[in-house]
Amino acid sequence: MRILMLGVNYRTAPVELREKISFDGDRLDHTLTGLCERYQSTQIVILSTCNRTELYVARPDGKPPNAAQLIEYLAAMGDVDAALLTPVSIQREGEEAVRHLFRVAAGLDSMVLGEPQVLGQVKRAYERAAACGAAGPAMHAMFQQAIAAAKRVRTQTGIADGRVSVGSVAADFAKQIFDRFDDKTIVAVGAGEMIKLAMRHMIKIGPGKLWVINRSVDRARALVDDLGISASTGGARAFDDLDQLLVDADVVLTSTGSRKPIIDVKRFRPLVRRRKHRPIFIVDIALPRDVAADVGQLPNVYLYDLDDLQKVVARTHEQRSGELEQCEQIVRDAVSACYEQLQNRDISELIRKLRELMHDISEVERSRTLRKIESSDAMAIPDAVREILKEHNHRMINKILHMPMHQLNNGGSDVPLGFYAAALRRLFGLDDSQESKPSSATAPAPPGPQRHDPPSPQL
Amino acid sequence: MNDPATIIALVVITLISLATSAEALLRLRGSSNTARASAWPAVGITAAILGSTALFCYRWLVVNEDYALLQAHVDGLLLVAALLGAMVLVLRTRRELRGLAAFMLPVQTLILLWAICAASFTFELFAVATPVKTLHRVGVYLGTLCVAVAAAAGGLYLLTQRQLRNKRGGDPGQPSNPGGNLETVERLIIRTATLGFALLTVGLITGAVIVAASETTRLGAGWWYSPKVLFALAAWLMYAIVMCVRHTTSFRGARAAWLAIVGLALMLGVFGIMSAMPGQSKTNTNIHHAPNHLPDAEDR
Repeated sequence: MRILMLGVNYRTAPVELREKISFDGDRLDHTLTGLCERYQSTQIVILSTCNRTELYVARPDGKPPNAAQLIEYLAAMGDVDAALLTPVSIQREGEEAVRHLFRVAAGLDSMVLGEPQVLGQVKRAYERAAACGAAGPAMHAMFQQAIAAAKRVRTQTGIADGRVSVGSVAADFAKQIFDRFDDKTIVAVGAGEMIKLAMRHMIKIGPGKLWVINRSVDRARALVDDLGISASTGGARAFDDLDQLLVDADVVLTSTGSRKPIIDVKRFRPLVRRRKHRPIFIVDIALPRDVAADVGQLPNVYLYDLDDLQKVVARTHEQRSGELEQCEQIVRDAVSACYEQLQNRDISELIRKLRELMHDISEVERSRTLRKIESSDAMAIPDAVREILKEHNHRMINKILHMPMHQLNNGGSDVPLGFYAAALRRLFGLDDSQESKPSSATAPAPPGPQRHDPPSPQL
Repeated sequence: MNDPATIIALVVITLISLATSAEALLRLRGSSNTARASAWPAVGITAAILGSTALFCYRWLVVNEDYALLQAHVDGLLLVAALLGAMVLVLRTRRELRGLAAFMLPVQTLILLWAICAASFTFELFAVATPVKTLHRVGVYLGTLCVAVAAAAGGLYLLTQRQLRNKRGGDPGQPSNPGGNLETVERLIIRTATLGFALLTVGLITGAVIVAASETTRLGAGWWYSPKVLFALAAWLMYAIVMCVRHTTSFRGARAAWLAIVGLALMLGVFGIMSAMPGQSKTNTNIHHAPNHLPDAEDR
């Protein structure tokens, strides 16, 4: 089998093009089924995320589809000119294709290094292909090992440590101050884009109350609607309520267009007593700042501005970059093992075919020889002699094949196994197009040290 | 009273506890890899617990007279050290309190060091002849265990708060982060201080009953203003305040943490007077000590 990867990603193609050839839901199933029907004996997994659309294909040697055919198919599905797609597409073959998948799954090829979402997307893509019967033994091995390697990368290195957005950093700091949020009140001061992004992260931590306060109440209401805040858990408030909300709040996010601080010590100090000294976490992501720096000196007040949060983000990026080499090493090892396994499976299949070919030839020749003897001597040949002749052929085939098989199984480090595979195919006319592809997700697992039953319950 | 086997075993257990404490403190500041890979803390803590428990049982069954559970101060300290270790094992499984071990283990080491001194210097045995005296000791030692946890939580609170205020060193999601959030740690301080307060109250009341019920008390008329009693009352007051921080809001946060730490220091002061200054018994401060051959001597 030949492994091929073809696709576009955020580095090569603009979002306008990527969104045309992205697949999800029924469209993904339809595309998988269509490709499988068109290219029999081909195994396919389609990974489609907001940052990439990639096709992973294992096809019989010398058989379609090739890269150009896949591009044409993709272009037709996305109603895009193939000539537009070709220059922005990336292609990988063999071990490079396997390596690409492993790096993608581990988040090493992501826009945000080490981001965790892509691993889930790879899992879902694989499970979808397995459910459609499009993923054969080679894809099962590739994807299951890629997912396992990605988990190793995440657990054995610091690539997943830290946070990479200001909102998520703020949410994490809030978790260092408060244990639970279902009894907490979060107040957003302002209704701009920054507040919206930060609030999305804050909503995830499940606060009891969420209030949006803005000079324009209409804009606050629009943001409340946009964030899906229900009336029972909060809503929009007028700017005059700011003092009362500062008393009630446990977390305050602020980003207004004000040129001067809207919260200073003079305003906040009396509120500390009204708050009964409860801790308060203030995240000021406005420029110029909305909260005077000396407010952070008051007891039980934790004030963070944009610089503080961005420093953490920068440290995270720096730290993750430092982990890259270790991650790459894990991926390299895993790719080598996986690709060797794929090649061994390929060679085993070839050896089986070669042996069958030899036996077919010997059977034909044995029958011919027996017929000749019978016709020349005009006598029946005893069954014992027939068996002896059969065993003779069998032993001869075994002896002829012994040395090359031994070399394939034990040696050949100087020459890649793929070379032998290609040579065997070429010399003996072995074609793996006739091998059967699993017709359903419950296809038997490929042989090997690990048993892979798609879809795997551990995924 | 000086049992060589007890002292040797105590030294070994203390060294294990010391190594585990050092590792926990290094882990608090250490890199991600060491934070993940090392299995030493669990091994060290477990070894210290098993060692303390085994030694406690050995003393109970072999050394102490009449199989008395708490016959000497060292027995009580061993009990506290073992229970403290067990609490560390339980609390370190909670992600929000993962940094607490770094503060509790040094306290355990301190208690074990104290036990070495107590094993070496104690020249008189406790009198555990009556339920009131037994209750007094159980109250004092378990109360000490609770206030030790409260003090350790106070240390964690102060460190976490400092990192949050400095906005560095405790990045979210980083292994170097001491762990724990302020709300959980404060809750732990209040709960353990409350329990410690209750147990120390039992210890104080039963202690007063013991002295008052003695016909010929060795403490004399001025026992109530002896350093031991004053220290114990001060510690009790600290925990009374900490216990009420939810209502007396001006003591919230860092102040409660400091009070918990000072409270433990005062409790250790009480033990110091009781154990490391045996001569004080002559000045009516050592109400626990009685002649070795007279188990109920303090009632005389």
